[in-house]
Amino acid sequence: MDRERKPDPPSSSKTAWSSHSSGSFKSPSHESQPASATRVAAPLPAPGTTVVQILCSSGSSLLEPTHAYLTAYCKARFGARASDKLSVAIYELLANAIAYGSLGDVVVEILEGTVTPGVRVANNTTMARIGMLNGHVSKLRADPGKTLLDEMKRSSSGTVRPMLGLVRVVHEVGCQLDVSVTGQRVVVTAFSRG
Amino acid sequence: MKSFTDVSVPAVPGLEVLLSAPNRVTMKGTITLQDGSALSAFFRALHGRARDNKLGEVELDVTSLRFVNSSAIRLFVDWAVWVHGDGAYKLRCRIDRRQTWQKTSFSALIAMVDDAIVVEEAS
Repeated sequence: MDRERKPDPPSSSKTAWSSHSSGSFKSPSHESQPASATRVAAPLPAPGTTVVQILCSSGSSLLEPTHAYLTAYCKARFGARASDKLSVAIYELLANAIAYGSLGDVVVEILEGTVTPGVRVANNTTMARIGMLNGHVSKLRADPGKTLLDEMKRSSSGTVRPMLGLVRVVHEVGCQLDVSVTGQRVVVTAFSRG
Repeated sequence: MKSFTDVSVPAVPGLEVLLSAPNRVTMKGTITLQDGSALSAFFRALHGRARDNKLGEVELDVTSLRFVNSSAIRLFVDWAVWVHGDGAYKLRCRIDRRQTWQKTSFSALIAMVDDAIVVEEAS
């Protein structure tokens, strides 16, 4: 499942739904290599490079084993502190994608960022859910603490809200969250803040 | 009168639950349930037993509960709401503040039902 990948080019086909970012997600760029007579080790991956990519489908039963694998991988590669934070983001983003995605692949990637690692999950979904997601992200950006409280109150009413997961990613583990929509494809990226 | 520790503990993958007299529940491991009905029934049974036995307090130790998903957080919210609704006892929650989910979630629970729960941090 590990594979070397060139960084993706910046997306140029976003729809009217703008990206709701609580911070910027810079597209990976190609760093120029310093001149040196010899190179004794392979260069580090460019910022935002995908280091692991897993494909599954919405409604699949692969959430738990995928989460376990990616958490263990992140711990080995980035250390316990970073992996503890990412573990929550991996679980909650992937759980939402599998539960609420529609036909098509769910893609989860672990990213090696400039400073900290991140996770990116992409899935297709309905326009209604995209609308809900955008509304929720707006509230989350405005006041993450209040949104957590609101979602916890709603969760006690008997309906598990998918939005409690996103709130945890931002408020509980302090990840920088970016949501991008192209047609009915949603891409959610969370970077640990270190 | 049935003892608090007689409540049947459900088998949940990744989770260890210990009941110790007179009023302590210790949870260790992880909770990643998609269907929380078994744990919900367990918490409901503990709640009923604590109320029926007129325990002034139930001690919930989650210091070794390393990871929970959103469905699991909902279960703790439910329990706190029941305690708040009945007013029969307090839920004393022992947490490890280094576990971010515990620090964040239980702080929010206090904001929701501060008369029902007490949160203490393990040293």
